Amino acid sequence: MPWAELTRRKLPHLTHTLAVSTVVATVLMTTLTITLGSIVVFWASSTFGLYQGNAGIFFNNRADALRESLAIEDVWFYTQSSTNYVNVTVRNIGRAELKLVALYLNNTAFTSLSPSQINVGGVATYKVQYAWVAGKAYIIIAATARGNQVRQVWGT
Amino acid sequence: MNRKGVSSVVGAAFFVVLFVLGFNLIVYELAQYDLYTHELLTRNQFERDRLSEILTIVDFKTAQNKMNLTVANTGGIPVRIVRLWVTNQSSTAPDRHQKFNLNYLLDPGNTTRNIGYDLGTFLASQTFSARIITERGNSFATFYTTAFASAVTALGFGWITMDWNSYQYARSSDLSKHPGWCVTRQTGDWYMFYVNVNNHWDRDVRLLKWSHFKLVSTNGATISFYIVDPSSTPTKNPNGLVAYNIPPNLKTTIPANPTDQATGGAFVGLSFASTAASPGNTGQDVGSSDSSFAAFLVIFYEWGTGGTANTLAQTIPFEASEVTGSGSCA
Repeated sequence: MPWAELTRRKLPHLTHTLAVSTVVATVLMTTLTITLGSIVVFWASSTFGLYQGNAGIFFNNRADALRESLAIEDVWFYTQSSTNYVNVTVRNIGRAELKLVALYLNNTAFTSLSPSQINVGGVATYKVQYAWVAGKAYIIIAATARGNQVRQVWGT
Repeated sequence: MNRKGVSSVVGAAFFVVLFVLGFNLIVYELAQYDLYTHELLTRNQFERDRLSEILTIVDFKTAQNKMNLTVANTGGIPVRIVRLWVTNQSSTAPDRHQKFNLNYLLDPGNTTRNIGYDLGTFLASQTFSARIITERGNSFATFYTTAFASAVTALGFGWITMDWNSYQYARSSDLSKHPGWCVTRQTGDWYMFYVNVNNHWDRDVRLLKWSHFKLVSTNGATISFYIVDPSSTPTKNPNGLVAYNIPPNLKTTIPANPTDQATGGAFVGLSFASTAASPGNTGQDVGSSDSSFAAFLVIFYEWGTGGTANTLAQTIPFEASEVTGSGSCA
């Protein structure tokens, strides 16, 4: 005998409670579904949004780095007032402004560079004091904020 | 009324929302990746173009203190030249390293001439390096030594040359000019030798007072005739010699012909007669005995202008002057 029929015969005073439980159960199920659904949607939305944002940054950074290109067009070793200097001229040959963050002369870093920003097609010359020796070759590296580098060897 | 489907409907709605969120994410990712791929392809094309740039500096010469480069695009793509760096390797002056902004667009196979600027400190026998920078950041360099292009000289033929037929002499007792190959010796006479020279340099030069004409006899005796002012005559009484480069007269300029250095500039007549460099203006004789002489035209001159003037010297040797008392070399 089904449980509902048994209940109706043996506990007639409880017959009407069946309708209440159905409503409650429906409300509960609906509420539960909405709650869980909302949580899942919220989680998915924030997670996907975060992922989407990171992906955007990831691709944009790499695309910007690809748009950036630079060349060391001249290096001039000279002496002024008994002090040795090096003039490094960098040209922006890319399609995006670049920010030069460091120059390296045989692994000696120069980071206080002015101007640090070079516009598209622009050229900047950086004068650094460096005790170069005549007749030697020097590795010159220019590094940008986006992580690009150009490396050349120049002789004095 | 059956309400069992409500949660299913709500659940399905949430599923649709989740699906849309996921779909958006994928579409966004694909769009970003497409942009990135586009940048990657553009960069690859740029690097290919950069590697395809080939410029050949086919000529490098100097004229009138100006450096002229001839550049040919021997690559496969158009090239824009944006800068020229010039370094005077022979100089220690602060301005020996100069840059010049350019804007030449060279199509494949084309050549552009006269790329250059006033070097200012240009002098003879100096080595220059020139580097051309392209818009894509490539660099093409060449070296040039001015002496190779404009100071190559063989014995007897320099960049100041003489006209053999103009080689003449006169003396105080016979002021008419005679060919200098056979000189009549007359004791007590002053002699003056004439020669016409022209200039194959790329610029004018001005003769200096140490220029002289030298006769060296077979026994080693030397007789020097220093340059005198062109207005001079070999007369003794009164003394017709005018010292060279004494105001108001100026140094003799031998003009150049930069557009045709092989032909050179107009000939200029020079006179040599004094026993000493200016201000000396005492006449010289040709000795007291018959002799054969080798002749040397020794000329000192200013080459260049102003503070950058350089002093050069050149000897033009030739054979010979026969000096006889009889007046005949036959």
